[in-house]
Amino acid sequence: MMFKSSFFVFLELLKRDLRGFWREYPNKLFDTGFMFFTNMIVFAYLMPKQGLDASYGVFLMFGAIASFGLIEIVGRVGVLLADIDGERAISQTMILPVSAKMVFCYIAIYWALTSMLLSVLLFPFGKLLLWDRFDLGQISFIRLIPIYLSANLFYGVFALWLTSILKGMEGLNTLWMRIINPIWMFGAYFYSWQASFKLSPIIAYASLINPMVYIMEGIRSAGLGQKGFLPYGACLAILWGFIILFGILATKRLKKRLDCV
Amino acid sequence: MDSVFLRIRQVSKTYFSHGKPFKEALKKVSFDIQTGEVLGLLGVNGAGKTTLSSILASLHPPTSGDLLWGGQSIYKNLFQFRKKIGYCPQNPNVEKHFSLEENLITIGKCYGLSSERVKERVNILLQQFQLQPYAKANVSQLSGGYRQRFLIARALVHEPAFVILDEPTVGLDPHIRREMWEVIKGLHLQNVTVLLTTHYLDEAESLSDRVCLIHDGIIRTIDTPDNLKRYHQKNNLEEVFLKFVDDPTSAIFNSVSVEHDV
Repeated sequence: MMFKSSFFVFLELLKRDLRGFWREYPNKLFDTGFMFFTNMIVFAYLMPKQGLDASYGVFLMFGAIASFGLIEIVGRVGVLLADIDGERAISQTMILPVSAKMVFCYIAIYWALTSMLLSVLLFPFGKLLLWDRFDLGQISFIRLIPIYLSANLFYGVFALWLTSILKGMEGLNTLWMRIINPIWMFGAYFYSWQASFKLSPIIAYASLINPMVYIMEGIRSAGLGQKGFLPYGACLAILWGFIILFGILATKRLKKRLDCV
Repeated sequence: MDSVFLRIRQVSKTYFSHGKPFKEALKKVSFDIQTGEVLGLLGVNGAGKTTLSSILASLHPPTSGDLLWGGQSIYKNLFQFRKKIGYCPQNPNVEKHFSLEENLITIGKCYGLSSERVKERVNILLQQFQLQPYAKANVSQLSGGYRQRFLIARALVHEPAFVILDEPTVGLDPHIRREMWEVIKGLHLQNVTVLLTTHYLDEAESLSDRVCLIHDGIIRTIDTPDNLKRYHQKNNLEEVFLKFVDDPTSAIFNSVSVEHDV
């Protein structure tokens, strides 16, 4: 009964927010597409003229698809933080017949969905940009769909956890510099884990604490084939470990921060 | 049938900063709220009114103590209790990116109202609070007064049995304030229980069946406005309140009709 009530509210809130997101979707899609476009032009067309391998554009495209949604989600961290510090519209949600855990779950899933809705169209866009350099037939969709869904869900719970640890809006800058930037740069976005292993096994093993590594390696092994990347199954399993871990931490901290029942 | 809607028992609330207590906002507060009454909650800023309201709305948990509804702790049947509550908070906690209509429809549906009933209720409330011209407007586009009306309308979408109004008429023009009074009187006629937190003494005197004076997290007095005026030999509630503010801990305010623990 309690779960049914909670789930019903969860769906209503999700429906409302997705309707709201739909209005801003074209604008946000343009922004994401534009950033993707600039990345592809530089790494697939300009950098090869400077000696970079011609296949690097395709390699980077999968990383971009896997991670650009995070930028959208981190923006939403700022919105939620501003609300918590300000008028607290979230408090209206917290008195609905729904458990606090379900509210946090709805926020994480809503964020994950927005991230997915923005990045999913980068697949056909990437094909258009890279055309004959990229064969859609090489993608294993059975592998790609689970890792893509899991990656975006991870961003949702991770962003929720970030919201719970930041003291306020002033922490947003620090968030970009100290958290998002290093996990992205050392998260196998520009290189494969194997490349870091060649440089230094210590660095490579140390980077395994970074969840982005599993997202990048997992999505590339689904899109470009297993060879040269960490095992797909391990990436998916470990990523789910991170989803559960950050989900639990975010719920505990936010519940305390919002002082809710 | 039990005439008590809610029993507040030994409710305390302590706020913590860096793990250490820094403010005891409520200190073992105990009283009953009768079914169908309008209970005015009065006190100076920082007395504990908003803390008490938010605990009754189940937004925040008490540090200790309990709220009994139908003889049981509300926390044992939280969702059923929440379906009975309408809460209009002091701060305008609105989802600004949605229209008034969207906000009201979502809230109504979250409380389990059917689509038809939600539409019916939304139309009634938009009309009652003269919000129809703004139905499709975003809440962020509303002026303070209209936003306040919207907050009250939102609290009433699901026809709650218990409405908590935390300073609902702050910032409203005098004639709108009077209209809000009529809304509260209307709720009273429908046997809806109302907790009214206000700084306007005329409002409390005109609308409340009983008035609760709170100071420093302690309920000092609960009684009818007439009894308070008679007891303190004052002409109106404002004079009683001013006397209370002068010396809230005086024995005269701590001996009148405060309900004790069961």
